[in-house]
Amino acid sequence: MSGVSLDGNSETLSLNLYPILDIFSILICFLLMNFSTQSQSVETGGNLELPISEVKMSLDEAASVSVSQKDVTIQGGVSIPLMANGDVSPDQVDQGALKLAYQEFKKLKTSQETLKNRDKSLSLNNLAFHTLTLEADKKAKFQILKRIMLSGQQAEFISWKLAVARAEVN
Amino acid sequence: MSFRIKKRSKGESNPLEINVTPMIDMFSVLVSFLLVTAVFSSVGQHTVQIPFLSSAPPPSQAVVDKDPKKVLTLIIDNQKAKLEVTMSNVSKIVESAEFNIDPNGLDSLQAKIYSIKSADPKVDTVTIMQDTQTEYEKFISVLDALRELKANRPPLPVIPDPKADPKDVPVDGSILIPKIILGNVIL
Repeated sequence: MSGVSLDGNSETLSLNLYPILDIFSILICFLLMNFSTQSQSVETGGNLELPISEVKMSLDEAASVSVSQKDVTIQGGVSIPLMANGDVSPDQVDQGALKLAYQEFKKLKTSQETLKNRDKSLSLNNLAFHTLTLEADKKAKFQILKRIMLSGQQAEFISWKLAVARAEVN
Repeated sequence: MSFRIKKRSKGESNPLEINVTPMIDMFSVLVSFLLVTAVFSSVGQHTVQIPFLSSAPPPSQAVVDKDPKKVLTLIIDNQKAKLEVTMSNVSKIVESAEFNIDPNGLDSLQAKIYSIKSADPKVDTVTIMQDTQTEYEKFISVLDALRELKANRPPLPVIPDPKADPKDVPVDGSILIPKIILGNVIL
């Protein structure tokens, strides 16, 4: 593509588009290489920062419990405020577990049982039926995580998937 | 893209050019689409298990004595991780080591567990007992050291576990310890 040429018979004004094509090509290559086809999306909110991990396995289900610096949110609905020491107020606790969390997990377990009764081909022994996902702020103390896990354990959820920010995208 | 004002005389040859405008249009649309849909940060997961009370009878001492296993317990707080190795048939600690929770200390922890697993490939479980004030970030860094084998260490043979989720235990041996149990959740 030429620049500007002037001669006696014709006048041609051309814009050189090859550099922009080069930039677009590089950009497209970069974006395609980093493009993720996974439909999973996790909203972490403003006051929650996941710890960085070298884990290679990607998260395969949405978070059920999130622990930010200010509160604990269960199933994206019920919220329990945290005190300055990172724990909940004693009236929210029963035998070391969070009362509200236990109630929510129990509801989830009941709905799983209903699903199982409706569809006999599903097996409740499958580990996926006993698994919950925890999305916690990197500064969260184990005290509150223990209460949440204990609530899950009492409702027969014995496996937890801990969400982390991957250090590098594979 | 060109703008031409031409005064052609008869017999003058046309300049030969490729029209790149449709290509640029297509690239613009593609770049916009990819920029909007791209995920630049990815979320991963560590799987841990909580012990639960079972009504099943415990294995008899004769069975335990016949096939004793190494039991690894890691006691952690925000600064240190203490590894204790016991045998399933004897309650006495046979080996103990302490590591700092920093990159060097965690690398030493992985090297230690790697050497234990090299000697006994059946070792697939670590029980973690953590202090209530341990930060989640520190705990995850310990999990990384326990599970994610560093690239400079050759993969160890994997003994398949029919009960385990194949996603949690890849057959390439890149996972050092597949089963992590949080021991003090119910204590």
